[in-house]
Amino acid sequence: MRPGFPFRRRHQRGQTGSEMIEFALITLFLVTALLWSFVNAMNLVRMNEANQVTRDIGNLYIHGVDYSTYQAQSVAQVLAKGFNLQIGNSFSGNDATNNGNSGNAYVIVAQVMFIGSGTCSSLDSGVTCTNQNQYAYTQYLNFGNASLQINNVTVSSSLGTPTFPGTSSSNCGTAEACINSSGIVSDFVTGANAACTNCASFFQTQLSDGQVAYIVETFFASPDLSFSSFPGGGIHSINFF
Amino acid sequence: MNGCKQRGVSLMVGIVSLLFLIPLMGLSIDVGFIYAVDSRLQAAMDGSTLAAARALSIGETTTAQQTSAQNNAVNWFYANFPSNYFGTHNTVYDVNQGGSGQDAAGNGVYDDPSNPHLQHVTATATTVVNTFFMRWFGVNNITVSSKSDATRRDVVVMMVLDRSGSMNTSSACPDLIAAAKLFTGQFAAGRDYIGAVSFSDGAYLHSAPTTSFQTVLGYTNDSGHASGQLDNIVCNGGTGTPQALAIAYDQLYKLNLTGALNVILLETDGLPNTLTLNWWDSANSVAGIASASGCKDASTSRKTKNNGGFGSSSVLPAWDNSGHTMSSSYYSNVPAGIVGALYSGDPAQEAFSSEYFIAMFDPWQSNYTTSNNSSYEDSSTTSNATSGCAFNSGGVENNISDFAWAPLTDVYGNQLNPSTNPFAGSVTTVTSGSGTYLSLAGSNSTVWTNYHKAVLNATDNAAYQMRTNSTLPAYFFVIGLGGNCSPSCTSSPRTGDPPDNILLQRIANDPNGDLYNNPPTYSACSEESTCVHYSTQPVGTYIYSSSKTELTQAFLTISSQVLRLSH
Repeated sequence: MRPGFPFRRRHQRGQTGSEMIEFALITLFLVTALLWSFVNAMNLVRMNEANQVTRDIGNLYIHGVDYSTYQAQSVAQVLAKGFNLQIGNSFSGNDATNNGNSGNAYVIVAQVMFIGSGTCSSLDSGVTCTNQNQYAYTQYLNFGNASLQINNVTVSSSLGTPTFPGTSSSNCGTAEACINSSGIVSDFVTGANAACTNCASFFQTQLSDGQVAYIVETFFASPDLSFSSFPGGGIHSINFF
Repeated sequence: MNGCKQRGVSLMVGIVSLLFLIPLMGLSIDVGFIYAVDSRLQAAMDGSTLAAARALSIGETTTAQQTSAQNNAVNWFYANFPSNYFGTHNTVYDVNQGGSGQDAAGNGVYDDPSNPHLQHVTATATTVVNTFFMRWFGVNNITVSSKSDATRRDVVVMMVLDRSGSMNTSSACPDLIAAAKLFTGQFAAGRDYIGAVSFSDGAYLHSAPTTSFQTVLGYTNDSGHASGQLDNIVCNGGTGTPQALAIAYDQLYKLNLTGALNVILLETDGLPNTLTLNWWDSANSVAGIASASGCKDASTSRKTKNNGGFGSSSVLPAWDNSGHTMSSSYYSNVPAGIVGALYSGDPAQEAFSSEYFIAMFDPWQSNYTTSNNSSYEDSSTTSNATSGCAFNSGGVENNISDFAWAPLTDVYGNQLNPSTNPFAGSVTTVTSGSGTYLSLAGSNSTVWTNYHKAVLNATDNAAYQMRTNSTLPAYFFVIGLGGNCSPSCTSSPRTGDPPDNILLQRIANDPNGDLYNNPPTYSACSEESTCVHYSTQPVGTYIYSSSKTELTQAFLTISSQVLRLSH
């Protein structure tokens, strides 16, 4: 070591604080980039998981699982572990609209059928085939948090918002579709409110008379990824089986 | 070092480090992106092949059905994976791409090599995902691929349709015919098998399960419609449900497609009230003829029971002239002899017009347009086989005093007093020699109560045996039609009863309560004391249709459920 070589170079007067400013500038950019990449990466990870959850719920649904029961909704809750799907207190029987819960997830499960001319011609004489050449819900049930917001906007089904009365039958057939606590729509041929107005937009070609599509739609919000006024976003996934 | 030259070094170092940090962070974004597309692609593939498997039922020929499956696969794929999803491009979806999992000709729709009644739909898809950060390293895009396979079992359905007289009460017969034809229109002609039995007090086999069901029975669907045997059904007579179920299952068993989905679809609007019985117990060589009966055997001297008649199989009168051939299938052939159908009134009839029986009419109907309850056994025989019998004296229908007992199984082996969970409870039995039988002694009221329970038990037991057969377990889908009582199902007096929901729930082995009506008309099986659900047996569906106008929707719902189950 040369004598007099400074072990630590002393800052000269004009240098004082410049490194701090530079570091602050870099840090500002780095932290922003890091947060951005973190939020997006986490949402991508969650998108993978959400797709998987939607697929699993649908796979069970198409093989007969009845999601109007608490037991089946509990299974969905387990599948959606990490998404904070809340289904409330245990209930017996069926509930097609267990959607007033808190939590960060909302699930819609539906069956739609295309009503063609063959079905209409099979109706009793005098019965109007209201939904001819339309898609109609034969089952519609939803659970979780229907008031869920993603990016400060309340989620809504891309299938359209059907006019369903919950479990009340008072308006059945007039203002609302006839649906019971299992989500079964009984007037899917004759009830105008049972029509799925947006379903046609998903299919390139029209389905055949009586053909059924099974649909699972999920919404998962990510409030834990929110920073200050920046919303954490969320995931929307829809699968047709 | 000069201080001025040192300024900005940290900034430069930071910027240089960003050249490495940003791609590294970007890599995580790109990889996440690729995985997101990959999982979405796989989900789209699953949905498309499952839908394609169901769509194998659409079309009038097997070629048309395969085309339909392919077209639906594409339709469903793009519903799940729209063009330019996440900026993807050059998406290629193919169900006929060849390769492993497909047949030698490269067809994505093909029969399973080891099960000719199982079809596969296999598809592959690729799509190109653009990268955002990896392109800095020369990787502009990544190709993601996916593959999926779904199967569909061929379906064998025997429709068992009630054409009893009550189906005419609200003119429901035409609605039943239309709905049944809509049902047949949902299945794959040339591939699936559908047959039909219709029943009133007796049963008629319209057709064994056939792949030509649309021609034989008639159908309605998008491709058109055709008339068939279903169009000519005339509703009239009683409700011999257990016999009809037996004949239907016998046809499934005879076809014996164990690799297919075997289904019995039962539609009925009332209570079972008729059994086909053989009053000769061959095991104990004894006949259930009452001592006081005037019935005569077929011996030369035409002896009554009290005079030593009916002592051996060789002297049995031919009440049933020819027996009934079951084609050496699940059931044994029914021998000619003292065999006939015994009809009992419904509880509502019993309440307002006293106990009501029609004894010994021909259970095997020669067509599907009439009732046989005015056609007594001996009307088709050359010898006056039932002369002297009280039930045959001047058309007196309500006299069953000729019988001391009835066997504890009907001619198909359905148990009238099953030891396991009888639906209507145990019946009253009597012993005679070494045998135990259903008691038909006592007042008409006593006999009616006992017999009514026996008919309900036999119906439930028929379905139980068919679901538990180890060779060919059958699924039951059941439609109960309400609203056909005259003048009303909710007032008395009336001429008949509506279907028993719990009985039909048990037949379908459906654990659920009423899912199809609001408010529900019956509870979950677990909440009903007389309902039993067997979790290890095939689970079907029961739908209660409150009026004839809902029959179409009920049959459509059942067809979609059968197709769903065929996956």
